[in-house]
Amino acid sequence: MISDKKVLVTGATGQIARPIAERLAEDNEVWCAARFSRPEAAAELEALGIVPCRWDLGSDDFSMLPTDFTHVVHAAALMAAEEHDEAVRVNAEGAGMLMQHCRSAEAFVFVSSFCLYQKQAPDHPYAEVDPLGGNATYASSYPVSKIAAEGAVRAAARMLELPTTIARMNVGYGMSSWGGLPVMYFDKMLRGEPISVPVGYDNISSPIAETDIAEQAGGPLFDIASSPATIVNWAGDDPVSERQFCDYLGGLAGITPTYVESEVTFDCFVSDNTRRRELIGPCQTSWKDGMRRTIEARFPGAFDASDGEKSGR
Amino acid sequence: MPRMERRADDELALERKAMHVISGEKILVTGVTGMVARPLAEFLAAENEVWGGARFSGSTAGAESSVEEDLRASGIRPVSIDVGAGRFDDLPDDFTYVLHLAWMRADIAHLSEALRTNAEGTGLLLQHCRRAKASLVMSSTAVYSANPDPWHLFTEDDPLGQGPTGQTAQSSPASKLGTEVVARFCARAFDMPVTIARLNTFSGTTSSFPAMHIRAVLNDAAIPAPNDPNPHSPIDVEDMKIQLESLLDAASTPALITNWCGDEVVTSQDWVREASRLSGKQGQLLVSPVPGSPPGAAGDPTLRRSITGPCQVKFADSFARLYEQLTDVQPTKTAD
Repeated sequence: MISDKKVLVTGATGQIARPIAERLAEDNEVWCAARFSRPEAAAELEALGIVPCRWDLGSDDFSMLPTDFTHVVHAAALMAAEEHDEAVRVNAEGAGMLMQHCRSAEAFVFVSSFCLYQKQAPDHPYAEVDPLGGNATYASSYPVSKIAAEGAVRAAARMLELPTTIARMNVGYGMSSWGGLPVMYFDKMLRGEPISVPVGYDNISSPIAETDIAEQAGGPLFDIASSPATIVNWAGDDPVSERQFCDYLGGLAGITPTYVESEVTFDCFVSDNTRRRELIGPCQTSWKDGMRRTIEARFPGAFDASDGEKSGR
Repeated sequence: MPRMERRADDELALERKAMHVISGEKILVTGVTGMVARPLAEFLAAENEVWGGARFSGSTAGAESSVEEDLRASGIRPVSIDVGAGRFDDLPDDFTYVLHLAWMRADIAHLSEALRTNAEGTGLLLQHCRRAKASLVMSSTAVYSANPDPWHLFTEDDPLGQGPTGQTAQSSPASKLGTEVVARFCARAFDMPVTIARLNTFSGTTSSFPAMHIRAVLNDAAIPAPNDPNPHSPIDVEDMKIQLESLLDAASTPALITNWCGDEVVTSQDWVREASRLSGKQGQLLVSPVPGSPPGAAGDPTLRRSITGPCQVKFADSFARLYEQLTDVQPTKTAD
């Protein structure tokens, strides 16, 4: 874990970067650049000792950001652009422009996404060298903008000789923001709504707990930054299908989840973690522990009924 | 760049404009040994200092390859560059124009190398040449997502990324996107005017796509097509030469992105029929769809027309000339 550094975390109002910023803020000066479309978020971050900074990824204006950050985690992204060209402009050109602004940094971590992989069999463990060309049913412009962004980041890493890590995020979950897929699905279960699953197969992912995300982003991912960029999958160690973890969480809560097949789901990917394990080691939290704790904390009392039965109350 | 006064009564000026549009400039053409880059570089070399960048893998210390000798004979100064490695030791940095056409065609197994050359290399090269007045970066309509309608004309704001997985260049969609976005980044980062031209089918040289098909007809070889009809909007290489100046003039920050295709839509079926008629042979076009590939490949020329004006060469004339050229020489000879 780094300490006494000046760190920029973009998109720290979001689900992946928020725990990173919080963890880093324990021992570092942390700035959070974001649009702050939810103004309260700035005050929340400030209360945690993080400097909020209103900044727009698509803009040429970097005047509000210092240039002397020693470490950068760039997680801000425009996900729901309707126009592919706009998504590319904002996410890809924007990543390059941010790197140029922060070119004196010691290390730059770009948070990419598994969605850029070309779809293979549902249980295929995707490795970093696998074909790119993703097609996300939930946001068609997102994969292409991530592919483009990685191109820009790779180029900028060499052009600026800025040590860089491209970390491709799988499914993250935890206390921050909307909480990730397990939280969203549990919420649906509580409301008696069916969970969308793909037609004819199961979505299998390699979910990673936000505690592991924060721990790995707080030091190890900076340590492996290089020019040319290091590219690494960022996922949990164990693959699990949506039905598996929903059935598990439903079981703890005494709810039987229902599923409905749909053409549009949150496409999932199994991660081949060989490279990450070699570079920075294993994750600390298993999916069962991580998800159980997350749901217990986010939905206090949700598991009480079934716990009560077990303990004979 | 010096622009010709365009007076209606001055036909000579118009002709000069068509023949030698750019003069007195120091121009780098990368990938100069390529099918499109070479005729463009030769054209420019008539009135400019043109450096032709390529790896020239055939050359050894102290001895130039025959390609380099040929380039020199055309007035082009060959310079050895490795775009992917970012090694530009022998390359000046005071070019006034850059035409970046070098790219690595690769199957999907070599995607990472393709990205290194096509995305990273583009950035390193443009950074090196950032003082240029304008840079034209060649891309491809392979960046567009496939459209199920064969007659669809791809426009510049069409969806990207789910493009053709051509048998020989499966890495194209990702790596061409990489080229484009890095060029876009450079335009903004270095405040350098950039034009990104999305080329599709070109015509008018013996290594062009229509020429391949003429040879196949003459040799009774089967011709695979992804669909019937399989429309294209070919642009003759002579039109490309004429349009270079306008496209460089239109270079901007942020980058200009435009299709570089012809004004007419022609199907490969059309030109194979024509080659069959001319030769008395029976061209064998076989429909063999490639999953994920678009049935058609025609581009919308509207934006390009607004920049360059209309194309001058009719496809029928371009094709007839090409046929003559190919039947004058040994029909079985393959172009280099």
